[in-house]
Amino acid sequence: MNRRGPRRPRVLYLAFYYPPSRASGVYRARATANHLAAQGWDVTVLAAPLKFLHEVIGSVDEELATTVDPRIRVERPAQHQFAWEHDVRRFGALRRSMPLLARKLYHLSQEKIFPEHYYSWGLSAVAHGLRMHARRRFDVVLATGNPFVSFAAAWGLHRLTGLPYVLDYRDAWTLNLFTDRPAYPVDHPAWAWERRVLTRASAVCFVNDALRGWHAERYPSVADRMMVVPNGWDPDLLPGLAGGAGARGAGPLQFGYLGTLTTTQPVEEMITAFRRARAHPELADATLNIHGHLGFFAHSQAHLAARLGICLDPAPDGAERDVVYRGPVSKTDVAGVYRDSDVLVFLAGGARYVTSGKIFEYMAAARPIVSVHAPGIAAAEVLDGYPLWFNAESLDPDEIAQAMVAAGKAARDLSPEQRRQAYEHAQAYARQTVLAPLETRLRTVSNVHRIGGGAAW
Amino acid sequence: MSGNRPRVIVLAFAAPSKRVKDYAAGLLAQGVEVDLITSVAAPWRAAGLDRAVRIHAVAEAEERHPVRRVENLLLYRIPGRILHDLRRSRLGPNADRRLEELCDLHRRAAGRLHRIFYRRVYNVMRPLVIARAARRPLQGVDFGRVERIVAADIFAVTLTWELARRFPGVAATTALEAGPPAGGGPPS
Repeated sequence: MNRRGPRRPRVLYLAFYYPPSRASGVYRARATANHLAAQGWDVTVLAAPLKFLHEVIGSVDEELATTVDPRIRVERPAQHQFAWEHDVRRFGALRRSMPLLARKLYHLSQEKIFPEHYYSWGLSAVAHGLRMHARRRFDVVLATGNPFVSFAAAWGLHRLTGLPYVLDYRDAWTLNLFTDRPAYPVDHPAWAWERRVLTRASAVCFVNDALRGWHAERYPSVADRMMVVPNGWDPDLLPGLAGGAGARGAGPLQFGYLGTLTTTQPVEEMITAFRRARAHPELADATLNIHGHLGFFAHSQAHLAARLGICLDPAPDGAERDVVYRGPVSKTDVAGVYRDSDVLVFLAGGARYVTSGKIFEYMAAARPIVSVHAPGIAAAEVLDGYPLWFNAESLDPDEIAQAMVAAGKAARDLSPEQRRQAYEHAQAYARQTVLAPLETRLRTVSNVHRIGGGAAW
Repeated sequence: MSGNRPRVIVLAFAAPSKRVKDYAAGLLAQGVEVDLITSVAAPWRAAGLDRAVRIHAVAEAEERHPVRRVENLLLYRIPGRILHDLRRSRLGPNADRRLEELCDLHRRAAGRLHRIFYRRVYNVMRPLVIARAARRPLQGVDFGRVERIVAADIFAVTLTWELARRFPGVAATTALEAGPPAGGGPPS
């Protein structure tokens, strides 16, 4: 305690994907940092270099960056671009004169240091964190993956300074979510690294209980430090959704999918089912609007558009399309998309261990939701009890089409009471609610105690 | 030469690949002229590379590089000359038989050493050797309006970098992009 009063607890948050990135996991990182800042923490985020986001990933949402709490300090440790650099003019002397040797050394560094292309960011993050800690000490380190080098960086900081650290498995590392099998062969260094970072972690978070269980089984000595922090929806990004998205207007039904479309999702099944459902009089003239990016990388667009069988160009005047690609939507504009949709299509790849962040927003919109995913998906835990859920329990296009027709009928007859019930179910997953236990755990592991309400410390 | 048509220079020194062939075909379909700088032309033609692609082969220049000549001298020419002299000295039937065995041993050992040398040492130096060796054969070539230089494999990187210096402002990349050349500057 100093003369100015008790100091705010200080957290170093290692979140490679952070706004303006628009990677799918960025919303959890944004919300976590904002929530901690709102609860009185002094938050410093170490994130990916902007050059990487703009030039390599090529997917940023500048508007999302404006929603970051201004009290949060964001630093961007450097990262080399070996794996992504294609411009020969930018190659260093060794790489341009002996490229084979440079590549061998690069692979060796991955083998010996950390098995991810992002390992240099992890090293920079440790150096950066140490410098800041020397100037003004942190109380705890929180790391989110992927990339999982952030876990290694948290471990490194702990070994060098004794700082406790908490790991947030936003994604799975050694488990392939789409095959439900281990992601690496048994002798891969990722396993040793996972064991190493878990052993010394003060707490480990997972997005659902299935993932927590999978890891608890493999690392029983850490099981008592594992917890579930589900994803949630962000009321500050969906200002128009208080109480649901409101009643539908007249006219043909509008089905909507919002999110990044990837090759791991059953997109063909969704399109086929929708086209079959349109044969039903209830869905005559209905449109399936696809909002969001096609793939995580700019170059994946054409491939996915071909798989969808849709045209990326705007329809000529007067021409009608049953499936329309509407393009990316800034996170700050998504409330409008939900307002304009009568039925939301929950399209997800994988099964047992997949929740998907999008489902929480869908529920908050209080619209009928049609499931298009493999049966037994972890997201069912969350949807269970949602009164407007239409689940075919199958990827058979005919069965999905029937669920779409039923959802369409429900959308036409939706009462304010049904909408209220649906919204109430979603309230349990508002972000501040789901993040509260994590904040409490951070306080416990950093041995910081609340001495006042809200943001007063 | 067709004057104003844009031109892409592709450099490929590994074995002919479908990836490079398709890339060249895609560029030709878009009205772009393509030059391929490679070791030997014949395997590319045999692999079905479009005839419209102009090939510049630099294998002969690569073979003349001192590194290759020294290897050739140490592994083949000097031992070969010694064995040849021994053969001429007619030492008797027993010795001749031994000599044949020695020749056979030399052939196998030299082949093995060549492979080890080639894989472990020469491959590491090869991009540099190619870049040096290709300077003269490519010096007089008029490439016209070059809009992109593409290194299709790792052995082409050093020469691509050298050509990038010859064509300032032209994109020099390892990415085989499907689209038409973007014009000057690095790829986006």
